[in-house]
Amino acid sequence: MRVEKKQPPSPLPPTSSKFPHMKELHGLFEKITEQVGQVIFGKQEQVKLALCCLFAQGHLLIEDIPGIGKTTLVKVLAETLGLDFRRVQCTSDMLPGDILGVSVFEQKTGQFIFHQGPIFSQVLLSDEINRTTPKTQSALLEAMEEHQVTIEGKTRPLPSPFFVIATLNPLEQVGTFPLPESQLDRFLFRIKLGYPDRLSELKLLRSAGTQRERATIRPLLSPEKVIRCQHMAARVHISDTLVHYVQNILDYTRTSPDFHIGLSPRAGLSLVRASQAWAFISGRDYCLPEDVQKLLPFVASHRLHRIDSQAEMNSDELMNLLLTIPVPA
Amino acid sequence: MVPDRRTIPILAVVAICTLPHFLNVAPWVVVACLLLWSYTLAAVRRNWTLPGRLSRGTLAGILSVLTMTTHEGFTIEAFVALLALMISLKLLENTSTRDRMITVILCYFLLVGGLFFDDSIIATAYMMFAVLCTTAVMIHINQGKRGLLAPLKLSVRLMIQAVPIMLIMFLLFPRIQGGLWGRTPVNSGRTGFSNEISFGAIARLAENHEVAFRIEFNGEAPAREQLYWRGIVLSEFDGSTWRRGNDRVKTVPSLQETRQQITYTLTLEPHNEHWLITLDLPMRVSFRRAWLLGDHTLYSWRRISQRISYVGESSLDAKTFGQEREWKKGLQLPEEGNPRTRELAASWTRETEDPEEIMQMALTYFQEQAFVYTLNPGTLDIGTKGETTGAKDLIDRFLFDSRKGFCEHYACSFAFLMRAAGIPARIVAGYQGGTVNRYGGYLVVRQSDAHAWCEVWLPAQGWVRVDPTAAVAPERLQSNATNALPAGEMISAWSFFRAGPLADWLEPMASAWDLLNSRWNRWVMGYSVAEQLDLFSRLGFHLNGQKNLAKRLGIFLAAALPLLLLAGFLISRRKKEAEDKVASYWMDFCQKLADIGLARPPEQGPRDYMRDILKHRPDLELSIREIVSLYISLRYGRQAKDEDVRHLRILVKNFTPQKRRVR
Repeated sequence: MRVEKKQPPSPLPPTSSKFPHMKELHGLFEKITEQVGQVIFGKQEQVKLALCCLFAQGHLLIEDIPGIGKTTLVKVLAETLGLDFRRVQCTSDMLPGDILGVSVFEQKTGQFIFHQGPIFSQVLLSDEINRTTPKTQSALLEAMEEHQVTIEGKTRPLPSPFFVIATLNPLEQVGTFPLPESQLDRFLFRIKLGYPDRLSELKLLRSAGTQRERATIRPLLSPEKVIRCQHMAARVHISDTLVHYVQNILDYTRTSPDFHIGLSPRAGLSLVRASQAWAFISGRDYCLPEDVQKLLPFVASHRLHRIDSQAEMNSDELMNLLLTIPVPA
Repeated sequence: MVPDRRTIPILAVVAICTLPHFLNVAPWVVVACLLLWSYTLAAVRRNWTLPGRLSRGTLAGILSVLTMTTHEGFTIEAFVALLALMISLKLLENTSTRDRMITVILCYFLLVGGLFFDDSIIATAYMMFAVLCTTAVMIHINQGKRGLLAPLKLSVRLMIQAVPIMLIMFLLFPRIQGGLWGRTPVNSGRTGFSNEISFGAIARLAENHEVAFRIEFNGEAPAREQLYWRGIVLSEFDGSTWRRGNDRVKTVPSLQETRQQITYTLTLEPHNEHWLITLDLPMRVSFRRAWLLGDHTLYSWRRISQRISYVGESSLDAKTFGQEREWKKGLQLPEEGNPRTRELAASWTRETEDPEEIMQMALTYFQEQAFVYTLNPGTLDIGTKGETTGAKDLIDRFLFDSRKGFCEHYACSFAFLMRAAGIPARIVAGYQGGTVNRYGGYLVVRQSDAHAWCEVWLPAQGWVRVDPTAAVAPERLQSNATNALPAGEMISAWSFFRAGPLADWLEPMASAWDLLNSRWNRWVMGYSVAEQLDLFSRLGFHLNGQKNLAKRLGIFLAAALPLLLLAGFLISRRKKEAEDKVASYWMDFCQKLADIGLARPPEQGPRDYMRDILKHRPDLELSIREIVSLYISLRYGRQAKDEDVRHLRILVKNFTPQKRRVR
């Protein structure tokens, strides 16, 4: 049995601790949001959140009803970032091999040749992840966490950057397998797109579909640049005070009588990483309490459950609770 | 340049610190200080423009020259006066925090200067109070808030926290030989008698109730009549003044037939003379730098310029014959003068040759003639017929004309009579009696107990003590001089409290107070090198010899180090707990906004807060934006620079949002 050695983590690009291209980068992010906005109207914030999630090296879960533009958003974003993009439509009869890939016996050479599944891509859109079976779900989610897959005893690294965007139909729809809590925890953010506002929708309806605009999309970043941005985001300064604030929040969810189970340390780490990435795309080299507060609903809402009904809290309700925690002076 | 109200607390503290010095400096300095303070106060109240740099400089120059010329050279008094004046002048240029701080810091120097003059309990307590106020004002300046109560509280806390450090410093910091403050108190030695006695010298002391010395007896105290405290012996007479002379014979004649021996510890207040006090007659004294003279007095080769304490051993009934030269000196008289007195003495010698009988005749003379014991003998210089008789015949005037006198009149006249009659005699100056402190059990002798008596040399008995005052006013030996005065002759209002009916009522308090003072002097102000070495040996460090400074320093450091470490630990912990200054400045800023109705919800971050405030108060945008961005960079940014922290402090301090007026 051959076990391929795990690739060493790519060395940090030689950037100084200051952000020399801060302004430049900030302008670039604006441009990215703008470009995506040409196709997806009125969803700038969600675009920014998706970007943030990418730079925080996390994965994104988009939960909404069908037909709201989830897939389009991901496609456009991947193209704008200059990343290699694949899509998997999850169905109930799907097997793990359909995502990871399979070894096929070739009669010509008399050998098993590995055919890479769609997971070997930089951006993977896993559409309607709750339609597939738990077996397949967990195969995908494991790959997300490990950044590598093991097929038939052989470990293969996934490309870098590796960004999974999963979309989810709300649970009340028929024929779905709800994601267990442990799996939900692996997604950095869960966002909702929601219906477009009136003006955006009018604009959308007037435009003859999205195909024409799609043609004008050109990549603004490259895989190397994205990795570099990820590293830079990880080095955004988060002060001791803010770490305390984050810990206070975690502590609150664990001691408050409102929640079934408190936030995990992984959730806390996610919150910090996300805040750093958010500060980074906002053009700052330090985090603010506002960053934490901004991202808290997206990080926390899918990880917290109401103590009485086991149901998730809606975002506003959750925020009303969590945002009573004082910001340290 | 217009003064502001922040000057007022500083002015108050300057006044508090300067007040005790008013006793020490020239009167014009007091007036100048008072004028400067009133001017400052008026300028603050009325918003006057303060004098410019030139006029301030000129004034400072004039005051410095005046100070140096009106005080006796470069004395402590001159420097204190100069300091007081310059601080008062500095009040006129209190424009920046730096100026204010300098003024307050200078006040500490003024306070320390006070210890050169007075180290009593009251002075020390006042100094503590003044330090408290000064520190409070200093805190007040730094906090830049309105009330004085909080700074005062903090100041009290700081002082309490300083107590352990103070104790360690006091007990263990290597002492240097000298007073507690390394210098002789300037005021010492201004009272008491000097090396000579003329008429009126001791009477002047009767009004002086300062403590001369305190005695603790080992065992029973002798009867009051026997408490003759020997100071100096005067044997040279020039016709008007009795002097000690320059003869310092160090060979002590042996005492004979001593039975009643008394041991005591005597604490002598400084008097700036060479003599020490002993109980008549001294045998031994445990004071290294003094020796017994032939006339049974103690001579210190240094002036007694600080409080000293020594153990003495005296005999109450010893006989001493002295040396021949001593009693030969006891016969010396001027060639002429006081003819009537000489005639009186001659009349006695014609009757008998026995010196003892002549002595008795003289005492009888004092008893039987109409002599009055009084503090106000009137002037003796002017004769009965109005012509000036000169200083020569004062004894004649006293013995035959006025017949009113105090102890020195009687002692001087008696000694003169004896000498004129051919009997060796001399005057002893010292103190008589004393007051027992009812709580401490020790004896207090005051300047008002000063006394003069005679010693006469008799062939059979040697030198014998004769107190002619006792012949005139026997009650002098029973109580103090004031009580022995004729009724109605109160020296001052003060004596009303001492001798009047109030005295019985006040006496316990006075005793307790004196006890406190005595303990203070002994344990605090008297804590010297010897006491420190004693303490060290009790702690197990036996140091002897002179060169132990390094060792003593080592002991001090060993004791101080744990304290310093503890302090460092507490400070570092506090720093973390208090979450540094930035947080407190931010809180101040939020509080200031809360005062105008724009409180920060506790869960709001700085940027959201700023956004919300600016919605209500766009007029404050500039200052708020500056403070908030500085705060953000300090609190959440990568590096917090000290200068930025200071900048934030100043910005927040100067940020005074006004409530928007409702139109």
